[in-house]
Amino acid sequence: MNAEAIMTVRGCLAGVKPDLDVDSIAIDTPLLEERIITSFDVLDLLIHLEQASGMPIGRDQLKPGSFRDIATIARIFIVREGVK
Amino acid sequence: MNRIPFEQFLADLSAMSEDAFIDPRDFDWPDELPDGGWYFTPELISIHGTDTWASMDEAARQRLSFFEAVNFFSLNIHGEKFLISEISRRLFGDDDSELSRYLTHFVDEEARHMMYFSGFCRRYAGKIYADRTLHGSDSGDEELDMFLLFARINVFEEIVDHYNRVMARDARLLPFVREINRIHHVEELRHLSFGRRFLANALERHVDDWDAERRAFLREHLGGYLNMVWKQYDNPDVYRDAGIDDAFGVWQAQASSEVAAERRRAIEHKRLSYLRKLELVEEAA
Repeated sequence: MNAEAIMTVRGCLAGVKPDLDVDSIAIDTPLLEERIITSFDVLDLLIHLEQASGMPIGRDQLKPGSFRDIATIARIFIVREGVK
Repeated sequence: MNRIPFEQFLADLSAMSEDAFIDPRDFDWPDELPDGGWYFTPELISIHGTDTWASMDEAARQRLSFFEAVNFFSLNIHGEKFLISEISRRLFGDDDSELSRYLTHFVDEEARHMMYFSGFCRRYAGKIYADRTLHGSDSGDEELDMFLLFARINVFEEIVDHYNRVMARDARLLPFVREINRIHHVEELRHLSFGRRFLANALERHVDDWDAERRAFLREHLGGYLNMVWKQYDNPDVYRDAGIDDAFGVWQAQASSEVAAERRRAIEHKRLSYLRKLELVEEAA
């Protein structure tokens, strides 16, 4: 996994939840399932991800599965794997 | 206090919806917008009272008011889209014909509201701002999910209606913008009335089996939802379109803006009193 993309996602998570020790979260820890973030935090997280990637996020990328863990977020929103 | 039976209440709401039909095709859209003018009540603009606001001249503030209106109408479109899809899939179940009859009007009215809001956004801004909300999955308990759906709708509509009420009466706003707000306010009154009664009824029905833990869960969930509703009113795309430098920085500063927090507290205090009475939301900190 692209280390820079992971670091970017960690930075975005810290922007949304400043009290969170983002470096201690493994890249495959289920974020919503373990309530590290809730679906209500996604709005803020998306704005941070858009700012970090410099690109707007499409509605088709917005599914609960897209926010499963740090690795998934990095792949979908930063690396933009499979996004045309 | 004696209340009319719920079924009768629903039948009365349906009759009112049928008698007071407002047709979006009758709306008089200006061909062009004038130079300048207010599209959003200045005191309700998300960054009103901040240092950024203080640094803007009248023309820049009016330009921002246009994009704040586009954002307000966009967030309404997205809220209504969600509501229509969630309510529609629950219509005409086993034994709820009067409820389904009214909810069909509810959905129809929401669809027509989208015509006004999208009409403004498409005609004058050429776009609708993106929806960045993510809705969680259902719990599997149909009645609890239905309750949460209408509790969220009620929170959303109470806040929106505050803006509509104020802007419908604000003589500084362009007349057709006031009219969009007025029409929405008039029809939302029935929806708000329905929501309050529906929630009170459900809580009465579950007075014994929804224990303290479940009620605490409801409060926590609605607290999180309310917070997300407010976040939709702060949009960096709006600040960017209005020509504000460092739109992202201005958006970030909103999270710690005491002026914005005070405005939200005042609106919540005024508009969420019924939900507080039902112990579904807490007094804003």
